[in-house]
Parts: sequence; C-alpha cells; structure tokens
Amino acid sequence: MLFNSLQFLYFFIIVTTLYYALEWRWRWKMLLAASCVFYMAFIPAYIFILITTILIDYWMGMLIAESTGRKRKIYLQVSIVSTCLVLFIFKYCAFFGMTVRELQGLLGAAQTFPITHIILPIGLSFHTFQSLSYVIEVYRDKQKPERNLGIYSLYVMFYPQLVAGPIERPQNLLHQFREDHPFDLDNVATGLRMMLWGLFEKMVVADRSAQYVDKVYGSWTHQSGLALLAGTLLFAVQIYADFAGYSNIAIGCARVMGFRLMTNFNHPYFARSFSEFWKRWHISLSTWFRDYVYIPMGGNRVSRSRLYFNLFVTFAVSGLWHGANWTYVIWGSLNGVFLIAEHYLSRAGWRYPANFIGSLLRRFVVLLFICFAWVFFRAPSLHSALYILQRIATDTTLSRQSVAGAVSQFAGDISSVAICAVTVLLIVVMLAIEYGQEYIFHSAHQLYIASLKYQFASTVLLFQLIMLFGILRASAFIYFQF
Amino acid sequence: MTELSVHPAASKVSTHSGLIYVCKLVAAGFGVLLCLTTLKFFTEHKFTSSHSGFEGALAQPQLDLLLIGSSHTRKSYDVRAIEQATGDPSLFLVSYDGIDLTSISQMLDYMASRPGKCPRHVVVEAYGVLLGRKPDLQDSRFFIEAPPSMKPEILRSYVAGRPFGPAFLDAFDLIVNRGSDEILAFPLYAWAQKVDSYKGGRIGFNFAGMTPEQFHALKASYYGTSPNPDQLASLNHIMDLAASHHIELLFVDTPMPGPVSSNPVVQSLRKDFRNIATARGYPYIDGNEGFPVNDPELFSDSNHLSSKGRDEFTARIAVQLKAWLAGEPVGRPG
Repeated sequence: MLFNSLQFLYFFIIVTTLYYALEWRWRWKMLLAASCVFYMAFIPAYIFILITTILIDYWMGMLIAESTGRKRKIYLQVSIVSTCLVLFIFKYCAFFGMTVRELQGLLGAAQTFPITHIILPIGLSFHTFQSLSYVIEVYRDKQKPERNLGIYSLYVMFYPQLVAGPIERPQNLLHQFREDHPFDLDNVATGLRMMLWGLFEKMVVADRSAQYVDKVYGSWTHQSGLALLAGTLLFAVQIYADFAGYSNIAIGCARVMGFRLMTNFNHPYFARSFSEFWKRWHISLSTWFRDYVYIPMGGNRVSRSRLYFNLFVTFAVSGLWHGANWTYVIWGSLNGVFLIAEHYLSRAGWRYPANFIGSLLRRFVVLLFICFAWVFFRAPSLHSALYILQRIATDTTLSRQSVAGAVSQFAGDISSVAICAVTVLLIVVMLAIEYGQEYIFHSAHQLYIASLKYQFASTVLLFQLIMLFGILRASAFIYFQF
Repeated sequence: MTELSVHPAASKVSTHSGLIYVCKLVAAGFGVLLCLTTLKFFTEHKFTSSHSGFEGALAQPQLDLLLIGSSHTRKSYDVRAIEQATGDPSLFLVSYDGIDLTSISQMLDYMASRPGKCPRHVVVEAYGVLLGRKPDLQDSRFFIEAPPSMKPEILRSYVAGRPFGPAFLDAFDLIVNRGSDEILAFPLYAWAQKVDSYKGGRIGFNFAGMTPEQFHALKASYYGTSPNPDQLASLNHIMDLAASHHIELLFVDTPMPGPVSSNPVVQSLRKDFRNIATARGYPYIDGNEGFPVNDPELFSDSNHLSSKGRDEFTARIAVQLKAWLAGEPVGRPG
C-alpha cells in the first residue's frame, strides 16, 4: 500500500476517522490492527518475520531490565545477533553467496556455493534498526522496558513509519502511544499540509525526474555523456524528493493523529560541508549509526588514524545497510572518504574564502562529490558505474545535437521539450521554497504560519500542482527496497 | 518540508469546527481543480502547434494528401522528400504513437464533416498488429490536440468495455493531468515543434541503425492473434467514409525488421488487413515487399525504421505515391 495510491487515501481516512471516534484506551489497539493490515497489504506472510523480531526484542528487553552484570550483555548480544540474523537471511544471503562464488572463481575453484534468492520483506532494514534501538537503549538504562507487548509491537509497527522510517528512538515514540491526543486543528492542518508537500515532492518532482533517470540508467550503454550527466543530476533530485517526500508524508500522517515523529531531512543540498550534509540527510539513520556504531567504536575521542578508520567503517556499513550490492558499499565508503578528506584538509588549515563566492563554492563542491557518489548508488553494477563516470568525463558536449538528444530522453518525442522545461521549473520551485524557508523569508514565513488563510490558499495551490503536474500513477518509493 | 509550528490562537478549535475546516479545504481543492480542468478541456487544443498533429492538419488551408498513422508513419516518411518527388505541396502527415484504426476513423470522420477540411487523398497506415488490439489511446496528445467536440467520442472509445474503477482513473488522468506540461511550456513547445516539424513530419532527428546482435535478438510482440471486432468495424467505417466522401484511399504497411516481420502472427494479421482492404477494392502496399528487411542498419528498433531506412523507404514509396496521385494503379488493387 503506497502512500501515493488511492488505496492508502481510503486507508488513511478510515484509520484517522476511527482514531478520533474511538475512546483513548482503544486507540492504540486500533492503530496496531491498522498497522498489521498496512504491512500485510504487501506480502501477508512476511508479518511473521516482523512478529518474530518483535517477540525476540521484547523478550530480550525484559530480560535485560531484570538482570544484572554479564547477563545483561549476553541478552543484548542475543538480541542483536538474532535480529541481524533475520536481516542477513532475507537481505544479504544471496549477496553473500554471490561474493563467495566470485572468490571461488578468483581462486580458480569451482563456483559451487549455493545462492538463495529470497524476496526482501518490505522495510526490513528500518524496523529491525528501530527494534535494535529499543534493546540498546534499555541496555544503556536510557529507556524503561515496555511491558505491554501490544504497545511495544505498535512502536515497531506504527504504520506511518513502518516501511521506510524515520527510524524512531523509544524515548521519542513509545510514551506517545500512552498519551491522549485530542482532536487538534493545528495538528490536523499541519499534518495534512506536510503530507501534501510530501506528495508534491514525490509525485511531482521525484516521479517526473524518475522518468528520465530510469530511461538513461536503464540504457546506459546507449547514452551520451550529457544525457548521463543530466540523469545523474536528476537522480540526485529524485532520491532526495522521493525520500524526503516519503518522510514528510509519514511525519504528516502521524501528526494528523497528534504524534510527533523526528525530522528526517533538513534541506541537505544546501549543506556547505560533508559533515553538515550528513547532519541534514536521512537524519534518523545518520544519528542511529552515530549512536550505535560510530560512538561505540570510539567516535572522535581517539587518535586521528583511528578516527578516520571509524568514519570509514561507519559509512561503509551504512552503505551495506542500504542494499546488498557492492555498489552501495562503494557509495558509503566514498562518502566516508569525503568526510575524512574534509577533516584532514580542515586540520591542515585549508579554508574557503569567507565571502559569498566561497559559500557558493563550498555548496557546489559538496554537491559535485555527492552526485559523483550517487552514480554508484543508482548504477546497476560497478562496471556500469565506472563506464558512466568515464562517459560523463569524456563525452559531455554542449552542441545543439547533444542537447537535443539528451532532452529527447524524457519522452522520446517532441513533448520532451515541454516535459523537460516543466520538470526543471518544478525542481526550481521546490528548491526555492526550501531555500526561502531556510535563508530568506523568516518574517514572511512567520506571517504564513500565523494565518490560516495563507495556509488554506497554499494547500489548495499545492493540490492543484500535484493534480496537474504530478505523475498520478502510483510508483514505489526508492527506499521501500531497503 | 520543515515542520511548521502553528499559531497558538488557532489551536482552540472544536472538533466540529475542525471538520468544517477540513471539508472546506477539500471542497476548495476540488472546486478549483474542476474550474481549471474545464478550462483546460475547452482550450488545450489551442496550445498546440499548427506545424504538427491533428490540429496542424486542420489548420492547413487546403489538404490534398494526408498521411495518417502511428509512430511507424512518422518514422517511415520524409515528408519533404515526398513533397519534392510527388510535386504535391498540399500534403500533411498526422501521427500519434500507437494510434489505431478507431482513432484514425474518428479523425477522418471529423475532417469529412467539416467543409474544406476533407482531404482528397488519404494514406492510412496498415499496421496489421494494431488490427489485433482492442481500441486504446496510447498517445494522449491525440486527445489533447483534438477539438472539444471530438473529445467525448475519444473518451467513450477509450473507456468502453473496461471496468469502471480503472476506466475512471485513466479518464481522470487524461482529462486533468495530461497535456499540462505542453500548456505551461507553450511558447517553448510551439517553437520546438516549428523547428522539429515539416508539414507534420519530423526533421532534424537522427535515428541510428542497429547492430547485427541487437537486430537478430529482436522478437515480435502483438496484442492479439486475430483481428479485433472493433478495429474491423473502424476499418470498414474508414472505407465507407472514403466511398461516401469521394476520398481516394491507400493502405500502406511500412517495413518491419526481418525477425519481426517474419513472425507467423504478424504475417497473419498483415494478410487479414490486406484481404479486407483489397476485397473492398482499395489499393494496399506492403512496404516489406522488396525492402531489405534483413539489413540491421535500416531499423532503429523492433518496430521502426532508422533514418537511413526512412530515406530508403521514402525513395521507394514516393514513386508509387506519385503514380497513385496521378490516378495510376498501385500496390495490390482490389
């Protein structure tokens, strides 16, 4: 059940209406049932995997809280190993098998290692991380164990953020299920507006960009350098608008019912450094890796070489988390290398000019390298990623013929001109609104916030943009595959 | 989007007032959309170029020869070369991706009913595979560029025989969403069409040929193995219309790559088309006959000619068109 489908619209209306119609003590039960229905809309049988993870971590959470000394650590390890085992079996088994086979081939042995292909349960990486977050926080005594299995299940399964986050922490979310959320117009209006903005990002910006990206990356051997460069830039836009759009719909959807989920994106492409970028991009995952991988490894309170090692490992693992393919590992590792280089140059005293040009240059350099890494994220294989980069470097020309050829990839005919122009315009609109929110219109923004009339008008306008310029056929979110 | 905080004064609202607010929001959203869509429905054909498409054909002061069909037609004829070879300056090419006989008959119906808009000679694409397909609207530009009075008929044939839910959503998508880009980018789009088109045909684009490996890997795809009754009815309607309005009609099947063209189903549908046309006395030209259909360089994909293939086919067909316009028998007469 995709957020941008009619099916979800019906589901959302029914669940929200029921939520406010029911007494407080019934609400969490209804939400749990609704979350089960939501999850089972994908592959019903896979709910048993989710239930297994929930039961293990719920039980381990209780045992950790009730025990002392070494036993606590053992229970934590049991929880981490068993949860990660589920992740390994369903997500990494085939990847592991193929890697072993390649090694066998390199060593000259027969490639006999068995490969098992299993359909990945939707959102597995997200809810396993959310579940692990709970157990670790209980172990660290930062969270009391949740004794109500139903409430704990809802914490893992809460439908707005079940399949692609934000990966919540128990301290932020668990207690909200025990609180009463009376109908509040502010919450409803703000939530609906966030959902609509998310739908705009997804259906208007991401899905339009995807039409081009899919075409170009789907036939990368036949594309010119310019088309591949345009495809890469549009992929940078697509993945941001797709995932930020999803996050806004999820946060807005929860907000309509009075729940506050954490912010997941904060205008990352305006970042002036790589470290700032990762404080703005997929914040719930970045902070997860920071708190549960990077800091336990020693964080930055170690020697410089160890710090760089920690950074590299954290980002390489983060890449692997995204997908069972070496392209993702390279993508993560590259981002680690960028951060290390930035840290090294900063310590060596290298600075950008402290003026407007310097500020622009910083943003451009970050965007350039981030886009470079996106090639590995989007390309179907390492070989294709290298080919695409080589083609961009050696075959990008700005002749009339090459521009026309690149533009025609939008629709394959003369409509491509109109689609290209409107897509670029809508991307500029999205970025301009975000830029305005961050840097310019502070007072106007306050005025906007203060007036329901402005909110009303902007919501109606946003709806028109989605209906007139969005891709109305529901397409899956990129991060659903993780 | 940064999560917006709200004005404290606005939060003291009852559930009832809140529901009224949400209802007003939904009503305003759909109300404005209805107004915009109605405006779009009645005016969007004005945002099209007079250099291509159906609106372009209607804009011609005098139309002697009309070439009409799908992307096969667009990619098979060099209109400028045909104009030079036939010496007929009043010709125009109308093509929409995947356009079938049902849509072609709708266009000819409209033209025939308008004084001064009826072409004297019409070359209809005789793509047998589309004869086996249920009537469909693959290229939404046909709907967008059609005059408002034609649109209900296009919609009716588009949704006919389909379950209500999907048909409603597709119709909604077509009416509300499709063509918005062309309207918003109209000046740029019209300029690009002017630069890119010559009397409805495409110029300035180069479609490369295939490699032998790509060519030999081609496989035929088709929608049905026998003629669809609705398409048959449309074909007969086109021939009735030609007879009643004294339109000279010629059916031309443009060349297909050898591995596709030799498929038994494709051949069977082509034969069906030819038999129906010739049985009613209309000439039929099989573009595959005598054409080097096994040369990979002449095709750009499983369906279409490359630029080199287009030049080759145009040189061949132009001779026959000249003869046909002069009243000589061509192809396989009925």
